[in-house]
Amino acid sequence: MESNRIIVTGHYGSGKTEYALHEALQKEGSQIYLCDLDVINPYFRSRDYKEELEVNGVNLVAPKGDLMKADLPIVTGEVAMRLNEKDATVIIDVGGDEDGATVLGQFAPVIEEMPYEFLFIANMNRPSVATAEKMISVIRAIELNSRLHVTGIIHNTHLCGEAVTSEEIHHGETVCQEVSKKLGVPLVATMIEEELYKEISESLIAKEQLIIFKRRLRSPWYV
Amino acid sequence: MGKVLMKGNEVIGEAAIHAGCYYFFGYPITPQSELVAYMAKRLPEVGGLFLQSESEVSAINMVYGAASAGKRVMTSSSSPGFSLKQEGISYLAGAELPAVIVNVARGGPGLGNIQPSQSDYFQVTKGGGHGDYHTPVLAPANLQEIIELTSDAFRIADQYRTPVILLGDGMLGQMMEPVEFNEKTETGDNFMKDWATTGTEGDGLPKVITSLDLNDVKLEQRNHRLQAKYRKIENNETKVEVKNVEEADYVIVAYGTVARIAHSAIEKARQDGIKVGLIRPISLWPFPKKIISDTSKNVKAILTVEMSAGQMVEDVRLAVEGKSPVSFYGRTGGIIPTVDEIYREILKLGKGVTS
Repeated sequence: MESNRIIVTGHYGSGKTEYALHEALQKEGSQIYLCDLDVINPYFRSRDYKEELEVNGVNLVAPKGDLMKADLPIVTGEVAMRLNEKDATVIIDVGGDEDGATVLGQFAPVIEEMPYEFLFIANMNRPSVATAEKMISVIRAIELNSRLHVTGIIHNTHLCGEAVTSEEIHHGETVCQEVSKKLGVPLVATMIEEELYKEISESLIAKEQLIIFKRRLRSPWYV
Repeated sequence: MGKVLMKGNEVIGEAAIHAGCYYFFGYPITPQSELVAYMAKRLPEVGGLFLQSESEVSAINMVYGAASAGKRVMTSSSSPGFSLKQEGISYLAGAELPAVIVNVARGGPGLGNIQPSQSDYFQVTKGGGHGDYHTPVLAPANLQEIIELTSDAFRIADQYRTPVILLGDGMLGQMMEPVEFNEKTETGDNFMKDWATTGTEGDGLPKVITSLDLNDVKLEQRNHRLQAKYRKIENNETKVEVKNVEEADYVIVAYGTVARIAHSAIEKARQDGIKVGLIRPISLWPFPKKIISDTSKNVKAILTVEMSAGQMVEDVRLAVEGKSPVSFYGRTGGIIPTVDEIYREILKLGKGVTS
């Protein structure tokens, strides 16, 4: 499904922002907008990567000026404006869990006017989605609050930079496949960090399409 | 149990429950709100009690009540909210009540901002409220250490009948790291709390918890008792991590998340053949004076790095007593020092430039 509306959702620590940044920086064209709709987290948001995005031709849509670093529930009017532009590629990085998804609800009518992808990012190492049952309940809650239906799952089992094994990735994928079957939405891909991929690519048994990405969200002691 | 990926604030909450804390009173404030939210969700699941108070002041006084009943109890906040709790913390210290108070610090003074900071060091280590008291302060540097130190905090609180502060910063509260919890949980029942106001059975005088002593002689006695307790804590509960100090020419003193950045800078300097060690105070009060004093005899210079305008550096200088030069590098306003910035400060030490 080719669409120029990509909405990225998931639980805290799923890798939503990594995926949104990766996706936005892959896109080509002049009208690419990455909307940071995260009013839940005060740190580790797409807006922190404004410079890299802009250098690479991606327009960041986020609160302006000092308000960019606030913890206030601000949604800039520009989000609606971009969603109304037919030719624009719009990627929306939604805040974590159903609370973050609530913000998205107001845009549901305009999003539904065009084909869209509503992707759920799943990291099996987060306790709140560690089983198929739990994951389904988080997806349901997000769907309810956002008034939109998830159209695909992206599997992203990780430990924030610490190595995970091929077996863990395989296990995560299996659980995501189970969720995919139960909900009738495709498992779109498995995400693997570039450096980890180099280490474990030979033993990888993951069957889904792979998204190899460069990790951007780093702690300040990372060298 | 295996590793799970958690957010710092969530880890503090789960670690408290593992330490047998089933009572939490709090009020949300960025960047520690996830801790309050976590407790609101988790405590009812384990048969505990969560209550969101109308203010930080009421939260700390609810803590006073639960602690008086002999229960393990916690509250948390971030810098401006933590300031509001100071009166209550002084009361807890005076009434000798065990409790754990979390400060996930942010930029100040005043409302400041929501970025990480270490500028509450004076406040947490020098008393903070009124009267002659200290609170033990534990400062974890990573999420796994939060688990260990939260358990320690409850143990110290019960053992010495004192409020204990767990000090982090917004970075520690907001970041995610893999952690592993013990299957076993604590209860805290191994501490006899015969002073708890849970009612008498007609077998003695009423139990009273108070910080009020109208009689001056008695109040002085209480102060003597508190001071004796603080000397005991100083002797028994000083905690520090020391790395590569023995053969070092220079030493960095840093705590919490900044110690991790300093560590990366030290690794970089060591690759260049510069011998730098690290002293990371884990207990900020009691402060690890001895190791710093001893180390200062054998090094050319000491550098203190903080996310503040220079607070812990005063304790470092008091410990060093002029035995070696002590310089300081700090960032304020919620700006995090980078590995390269600290590395450049290390190079300055080599050139004999100290500020």
